[in-house]
Amino acid sequence: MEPVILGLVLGGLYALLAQSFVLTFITTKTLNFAVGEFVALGAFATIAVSSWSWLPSFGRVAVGFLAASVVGALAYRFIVLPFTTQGEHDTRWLLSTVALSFVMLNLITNVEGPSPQRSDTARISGSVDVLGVGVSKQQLLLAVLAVVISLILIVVSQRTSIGLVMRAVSQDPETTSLMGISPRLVGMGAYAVAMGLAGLAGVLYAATVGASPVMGAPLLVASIAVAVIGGLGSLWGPLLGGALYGVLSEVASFQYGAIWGETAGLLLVIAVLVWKPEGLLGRRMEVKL
Amino acid sequence: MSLVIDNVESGYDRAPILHGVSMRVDPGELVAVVGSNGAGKTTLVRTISGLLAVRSGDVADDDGSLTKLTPAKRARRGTVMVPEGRKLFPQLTVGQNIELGRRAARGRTGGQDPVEALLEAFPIVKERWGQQANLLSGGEQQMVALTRAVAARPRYLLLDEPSLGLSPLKTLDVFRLIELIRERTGAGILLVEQMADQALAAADRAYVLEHGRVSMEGPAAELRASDEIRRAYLGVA
Ligand SMILES: Nc1ncnc2c1ncn2[C@@H]1O[C@H](COP(=O)(O)OP(=O)(O)OP(=O)(O)O)[C@@H](O)[C@H]1O
Ligand SMILES: [Mg+2]
Repeated sequence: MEPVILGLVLGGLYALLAQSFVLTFITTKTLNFAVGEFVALGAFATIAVSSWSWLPSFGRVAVGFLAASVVGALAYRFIVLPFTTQGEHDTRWLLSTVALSFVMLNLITNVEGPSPQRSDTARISGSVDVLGVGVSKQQLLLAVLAVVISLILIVVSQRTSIGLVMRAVSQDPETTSLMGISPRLVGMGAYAVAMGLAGLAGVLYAATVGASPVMGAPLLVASIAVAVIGGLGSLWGPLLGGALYGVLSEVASFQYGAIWGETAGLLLVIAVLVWKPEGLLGRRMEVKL
Repeated sequence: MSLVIDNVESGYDRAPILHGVSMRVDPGELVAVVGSNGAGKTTLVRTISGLLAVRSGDVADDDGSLTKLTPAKRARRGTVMVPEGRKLFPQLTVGQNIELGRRAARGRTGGQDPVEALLEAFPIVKERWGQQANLLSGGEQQMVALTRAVAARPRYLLLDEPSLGLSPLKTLDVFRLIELIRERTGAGILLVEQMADQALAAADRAYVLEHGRVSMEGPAAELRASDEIRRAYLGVA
């Protein structure tokens, strides 16, 4: 039981980041491989304002979200969009976002230095008992947040006019532009929210492990794995993918040792790619979304 | 006050397609563009709507040049296109498709809703309101695509082969709807068609497009009666 609970909780962090991949993929058919650096950016932005005692900690967390969000929108406009102009098979954005990842990593390291910094904002200490298993409150918060944010995104996409526009862009950006809607603005909005979520994950994660320029790197592989398992086209995908990946890797490392944890998760990715390349929920949401 | 296409050149990467095309559409006017496959008709409407860049020349509406504007801005200014093959959002409902059309009308509302008039005359669209768009027949899809364009409150409406893939009977329906749209919205309509006979019968004026150039123009009735047109496009020996 213990590894299952811990896996579910751990999956929450990955799910939050996977959701940011899904958001940009649905709207722009691109992924931001610099997402790990946006995690660090969010964490450091919050640390930068941590001495502003007039700002409640909710506000400081919001600063982390907003910093990543603004840089995310700009990154889409100037680093992703210009490299998607040659049709559906144009994948230059892949290289440009990887390049962005290196540039941001260097910039953040230059400004903040390589060693981890303590972050106290949004730290919740202690643990709670979940079905007889002690779970750190901080991690539980991340998991709950991943679920809540996913549900909000799903409701927005299905019930609001912004969601309708999002679904239209996802189905046919060119025709959407004939409706007087700018796909470029929709893309910037999606990147703003997606990178904001990465920043938010960074703030909460840094409260447990500290903030460092490379803090996002280990999360990148796992969250892509989660997004692929669930299906990049589905807002439900990260929840299912996060739960499966988290539980499987925790159970495997519990049974066979730590190195088997991540390996098991990646084997799951390969199995999904072979059996259902669009991800477990990919097809179903393609119809709905 | 008209949609003016002035000496426009455009095309794809290394293939120029339109070589100095000039046309004009006045408000309330139905103007047909006929031409054989590959003449450049789709290239023309995509250039006017902004999906393709103008290489030289100018496209302008009542308020001035459109050439520097994105397709979205052009639509919001009232130049609205119904693309070849209708291009409904397949997984959205009929109603959602039409709601999206309204987005282009932001800031140009007021007066009577032209969509209501169409729904009354063609209740089939209303009957299908909650249905997913890709489950409609071709004729129904074209009705929805036209209604969606009308929801955008067009000042100028560009129609790319609305009869494509439709039976003669359905084509007749679509032409009736186009007539109604002209009557109710007062928009100037540029109708690109391969069904030359019907298009010329419905239109006020017409242009013949050949290899990216306007080869003939004039009142539609005159063109329809001319020997050249009858031979080339109306299948009369
Ligand atoms: N994406 C493209 N890239 C390169 N050339 C193209 C492209 N689309 C069309 N063309 C070429 O441009 C020319 C004009 O095409 P266009 O689609 O405008 O013709 P059309 O008059 O609309 O024909 P149809 O009646 O078949 O729809 C054709 O020779 C076609 O091969
Ligand atoms: Mg065509």
